Amino acid sequence: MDIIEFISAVNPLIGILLILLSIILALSSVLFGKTKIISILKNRLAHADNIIKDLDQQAKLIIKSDIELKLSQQDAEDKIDRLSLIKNLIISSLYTLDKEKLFSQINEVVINSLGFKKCLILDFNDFSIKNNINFSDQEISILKSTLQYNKEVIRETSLIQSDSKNHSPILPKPWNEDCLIAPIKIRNNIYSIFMISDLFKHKQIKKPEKETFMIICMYLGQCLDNIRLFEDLYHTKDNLEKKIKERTRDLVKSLREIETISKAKSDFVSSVSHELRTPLTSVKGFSSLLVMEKFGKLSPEIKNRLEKIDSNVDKLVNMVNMLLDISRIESGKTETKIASSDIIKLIKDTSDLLSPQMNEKNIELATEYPQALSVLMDKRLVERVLINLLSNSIKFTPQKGKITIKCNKQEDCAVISIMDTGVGIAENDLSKIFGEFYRTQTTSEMPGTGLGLSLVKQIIDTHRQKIWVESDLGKGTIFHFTLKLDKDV
Amino acid sequence: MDRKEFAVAYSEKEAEQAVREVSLRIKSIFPKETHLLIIFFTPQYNPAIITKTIDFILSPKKIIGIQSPFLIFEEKILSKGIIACCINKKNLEVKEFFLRNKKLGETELFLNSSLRELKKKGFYFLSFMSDQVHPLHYLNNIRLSLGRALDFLGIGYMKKYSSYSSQIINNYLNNGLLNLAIRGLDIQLLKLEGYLPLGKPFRINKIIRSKNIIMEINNEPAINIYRHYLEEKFDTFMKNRLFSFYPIGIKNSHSINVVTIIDCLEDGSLVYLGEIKKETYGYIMFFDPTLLLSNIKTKLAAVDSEMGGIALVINSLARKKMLKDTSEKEIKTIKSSLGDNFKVIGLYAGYSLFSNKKIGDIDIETNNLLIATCQ
Repeated sequence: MDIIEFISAVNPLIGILLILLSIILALSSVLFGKTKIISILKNRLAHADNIIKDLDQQAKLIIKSDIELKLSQQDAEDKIDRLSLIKNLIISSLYTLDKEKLFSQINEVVINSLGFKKCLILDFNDFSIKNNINFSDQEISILKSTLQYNKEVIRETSLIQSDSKNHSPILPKPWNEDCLIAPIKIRNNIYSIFMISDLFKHKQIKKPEKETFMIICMYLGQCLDNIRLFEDLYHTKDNLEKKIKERTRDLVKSLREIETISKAKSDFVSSVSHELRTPLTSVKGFSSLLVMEKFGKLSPEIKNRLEKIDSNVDKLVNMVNMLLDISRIESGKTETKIASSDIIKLIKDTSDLLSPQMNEKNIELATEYPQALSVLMDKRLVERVLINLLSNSIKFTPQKGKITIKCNKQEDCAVISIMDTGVGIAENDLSKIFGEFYRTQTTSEMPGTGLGLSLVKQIIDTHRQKIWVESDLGKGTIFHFTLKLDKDV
Repeated sequence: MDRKEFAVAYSEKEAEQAVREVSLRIKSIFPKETHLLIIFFTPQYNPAIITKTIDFILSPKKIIGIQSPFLIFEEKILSKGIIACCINKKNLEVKEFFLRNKKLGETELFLNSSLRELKKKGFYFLSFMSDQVHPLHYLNNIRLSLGRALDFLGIGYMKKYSSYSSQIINNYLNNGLLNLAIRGLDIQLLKLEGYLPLGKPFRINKIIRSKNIIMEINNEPAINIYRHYLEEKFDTFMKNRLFSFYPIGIKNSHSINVVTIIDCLEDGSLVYLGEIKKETYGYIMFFDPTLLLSNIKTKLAAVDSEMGGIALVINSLARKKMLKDTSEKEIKTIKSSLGDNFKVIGLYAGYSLFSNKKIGDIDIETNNLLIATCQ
């Protein structure tokens, strides 16, 4: 400053110039400093801007990953929802055996879950409505005529999709709603047409929607098939029951006819036998007197012939008596007197009675029974059973054969068995031997009426007991019959 | 919880049976009399049957009923059921006012005549708005009639969920606006947030407030903000209309208010639910469940749970759709944080209005969780 003051004193102009120069120098240094600060600030701003851009980029990444995650989550939930929809539909309709009820299971909840608002199910034959949700009458009428017109196209396809991008030619124009159409088939035959329409806003028909819809159509087809099978089964059962009723009615009718015929037969046999017995008694009386030569001596030839007549009259009387007994039992005319009695004593008495015949043929008699056994029986009738069965055994058992009589307790019955070592009965004859006048091939040559076993069966039936036979042709036969034990004894 | 003052019950049974069950449970706690009975019911229940059955069993002095598509009872979220809450508190004063939906045009007059005087007397106001009430119009009406500083909580719906009426006021059924003025009950309101702002803030340039439309963001069609962040995922986002996943946060002097985007118009404008001022800054918001759960724990730790009471949870229907499994987790966290002394009941709402003490105004909330503790 001293220099400037000195110069100013010497030359004021130079002094002023020097002052201005120093001011300019000072200002330049300030300006330089400011420029430097601005440059630093600019750098910092650019850096901050970069940081913000980085943050924005990171924000983009976060949002994009988040939306991807949320969409995957949504997708997984949609899949679960669809599975749950199918599960619920199956639960509600699995045991439905009514077509109308089955279609009613396709309700608004099901349709909404598929992403649609409307549903229409039409019968493929007459296009009658099976189910309708939210379609107007006018829409149905238009759809019916177009679908009917395109029946063959529907027959050839499994799924028709129509949306804003691809309008299906089978739908009326303009049909602005996104929709899916599929046939419901029962074993390759189309039963109905299923249409869902009017997709929820901002939704799209994608593969999962189509797949779920087709699964539902297939499931409905399967249910309809089950219903058809059930209906067939039901009708078959119904028809079978009707037939059984008809047959039962016929059988009852036949049974009544048989009973009438049988009664007529018994009456006839009874009256004929009665009519025969009187003259036979007379014939027998006279033939016996003649054989006994009460009317004078006879030549041996005549006596021989008369003895044969007498013997045959005996057989005839026996046969008539047997027939009379059978018809009496059949017609219920025989009064059965069932009372407690010792069957063992009766067996012993009967076998004693027939012992001469057994001795004659050297037949061994074996017995296996308790000392006494009380049963409920008509003693007179059971005696006839024992006589007939034992007589048969003796008749068909060859010389030196063996007859065994057994009597055992079985539950509340006594089982009496008569076993022989005779000719036996062929298997195909076994079921017939208790019939009247039936004679087997093996017995046809032996004398007999064919009425004995029939009478035996009648008597046992009268006691409400059982009789059966076992036989081995050529080896022997066993007749078994039961009698009720007297529990009081 | 003082059993002599509060009682809650719930049932998931069918119609009359459910009402009978909750009524009998309340009766077992308050055998003599019932002062105020608040009923929350899902859309499956007929409010006429509810009132008839409750009248028969309990004959409460006052009965208030609100329909909601989902309810909260303790740790459960009910999609079908009835919740009954009975308050028999000494000195409790409750005044109820309702406006039929045909007369909603007279809301301002109704508020002036019914609530204005009560505001001076220190009443707490509860509002229940049916789908017929326009949220922003109602908000303006409250501001005009009652001012911005008041104790207020409103619960509203944007949709109708059944053909039945959605509100019960003693023997009346209503589908409009229902207001309750309460005194003698200590009500504290907590807002629990779980959203984080993401990316660069943007400027909202053009809006039509009367129609709730954002026309331009950063001088471009509003939808471009989503296009910017979603890039190749934008088409999927639009096809699935996933706006509720990423609401917009509006920056104000104290906090960021979450505003739900409902739809996009053909010109790229966004339809929103909430309150936005022109030329404000906003963010794309991202929901962080961990943040929410930690917020629940922190904020509820400050509540005096020793004394017990009722915790009324007002949850967001928009959040429920987005949260999925987390929605149950948050309810369980609320319950465990409050403990057994607090009975947790609640409902899911389309939106809620509440007094925001920080800004001294009434806020509209569509995405976050509000808890009103009543003691």
